[in-house]
Amino acid sequence: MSESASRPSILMVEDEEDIAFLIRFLLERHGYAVRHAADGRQALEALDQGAPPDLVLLDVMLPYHDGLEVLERLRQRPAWQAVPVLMLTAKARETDVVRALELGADDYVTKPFQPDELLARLRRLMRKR
Amino acid sequence: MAVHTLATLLACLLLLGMGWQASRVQQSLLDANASVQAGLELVTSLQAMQTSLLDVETGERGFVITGRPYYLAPYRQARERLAQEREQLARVLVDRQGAEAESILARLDGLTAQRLAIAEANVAVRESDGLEAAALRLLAAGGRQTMNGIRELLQGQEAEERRRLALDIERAAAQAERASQQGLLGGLLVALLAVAAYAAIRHVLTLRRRLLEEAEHREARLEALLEAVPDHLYRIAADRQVRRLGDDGEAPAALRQALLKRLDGPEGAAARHDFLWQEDAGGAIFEVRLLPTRDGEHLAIARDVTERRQVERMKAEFVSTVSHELRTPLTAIRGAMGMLASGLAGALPDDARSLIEVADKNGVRLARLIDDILDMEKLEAGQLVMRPRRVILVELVEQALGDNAPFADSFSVSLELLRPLPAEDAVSVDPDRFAQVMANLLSNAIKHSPPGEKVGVAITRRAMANREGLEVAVSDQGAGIPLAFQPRVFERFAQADGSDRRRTGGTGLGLAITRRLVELMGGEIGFTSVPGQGTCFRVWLPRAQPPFESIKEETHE
Repeated sequence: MSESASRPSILMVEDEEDIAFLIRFLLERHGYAVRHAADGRQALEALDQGAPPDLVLLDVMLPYHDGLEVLERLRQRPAWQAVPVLMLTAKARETDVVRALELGADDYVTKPFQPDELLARLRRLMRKR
Repeated sequence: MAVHTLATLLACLLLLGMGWQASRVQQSLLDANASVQAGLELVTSLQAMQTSLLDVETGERGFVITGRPYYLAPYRQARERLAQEREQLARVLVDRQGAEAESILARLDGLTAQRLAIAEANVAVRESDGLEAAALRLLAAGGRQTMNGIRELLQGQEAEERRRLALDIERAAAQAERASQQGLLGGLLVALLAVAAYAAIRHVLTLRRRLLEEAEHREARLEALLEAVPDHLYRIAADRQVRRLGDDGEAPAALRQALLKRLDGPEGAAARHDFLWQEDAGGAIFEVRLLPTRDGEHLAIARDVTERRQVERMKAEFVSTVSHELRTPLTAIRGAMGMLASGLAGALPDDARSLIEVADKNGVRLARLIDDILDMEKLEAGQLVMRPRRVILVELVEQALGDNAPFADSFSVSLELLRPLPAEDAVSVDPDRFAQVMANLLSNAIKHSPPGEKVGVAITRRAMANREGLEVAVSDQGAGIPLAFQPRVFERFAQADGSDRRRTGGTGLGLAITRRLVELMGGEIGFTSVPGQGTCFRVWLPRAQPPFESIKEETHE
């Protein structure tokens, strides 16, 4: 526990198994603790379990509840209001980006993403905090 | 004047002339007739006088020879008639012969008086001296000679008169002959003119019938066309009635309103209008075209495009869905490749690394192709949302140069900004979309430049069609665009040759997208290219209005 507490924690909401695997692989190699929610329902459950993470990585297209809805619910919780949220979006869905930024997302990365770009944006958001 | 009118008019004139001529001929015939009458009267008078003188002579001789008094009765009667007949003859003769009549009458009067005197004397001798003395006297008195003189005179006159009569009749006959010839000629002419007029009228009627037939055919064709055309056609009359062509039915009230609104709009009735019209919420969608006709009315063509639009939407959705589905596995592939290449899974042998690089590079290319297809699809569907802002052009261009520098480096090409403008020159564009335009133009220029060369970017002020604007020119010193390919530069999936695509890694959509984006920004794009010397693409954008306070705040943000 003490080890995980010392490492920055990230909640990753991503329904694509392979992509989730890759992100986890990337983030863990760079010293982050990663919790995974595989769909909208699991993401909402994660809001009620334990302390907020240092950052949320949130896909927009999710089964059950989409990323925008998860984001809206997340920002309604006082404890989660200041947590940086980095959206994962498909490039073509710009209206989603605008909507996400309005709902309180901090930044976005378009898929397919470069590992370096994802890391750079993560670090920037976590430094800001 | 039409031929038939002219001919008819001429015929009428001719008929009038002929009528006048006929009445003249008739008058002269009447005159001739009267003259003959008078001549005959004269002859009758001459004969009557002769008869009476003969009666006198016969009575006188009869009495002288027989001594019987009843011979004196015709003698006396004749003597009584003679005075009257003399008056009659004098009147007729003066009428006929004028001055000459006086001398004839004088001679006649002398001879008559002589003869009567002889007769009187003979009768008196017979009564007083008896037959013998009277008979002697009868022979000696010269009654016979006198009588012969009278007869000669009267008969001469009669012969003269008959000769004259014959002349009169001949003249009248000749005149009648001439008149009948003239009448015949005139009649022929009138008939000729009538025929001409008839032919002309017939010609006109034939022409009219042919025109009518043609009009009939046109009408029939039009009707068939209206029947066959799937579009709805409407006629908007000057009284603003909107009726369907073909069956003349009323147009839907909502459509009529939509049409009249455009006629009254700022563009007015002379312009052509194209717009979409929906019957009602959820109803059929029509593409409507409204245009003025030559005769001052208007024609509206409504085409049901519900199905087409549905198909278009389905196609767009399909392309979009497929692209998204492609992107998901591609994300995983590129992520894995990127992580492998960056050594996250441990150091790689050189052979493995070069293979991974090939896979990674093509992953990038595939991702860009999908992005371009999605962009193109959105542009065509008009779904691309532009968020224009007032921005300083130089700043945008500088940022684009910075963003594309790494790419230029990988080709050993340098980027150079030439002649920058004063900072206040601004345009109104969506910065992200402008960046996309610049990235397309710069990457094209970079890819086609030989290593070690420069790609120059120049900004100049330039007015176009009286609008102030700014022009960004991106030029390279590459091989240029082959002349044959130049007209197709902006077409989709157009590339100078197939090997070019493999060599440069383009998608073939870049310039098509670029042009649409520039047009959406209210600008224009063009190029000049000299094979062997290089290519220069120019993007012209209208200059933004001087900043208002609110816009200034936004730029300071």
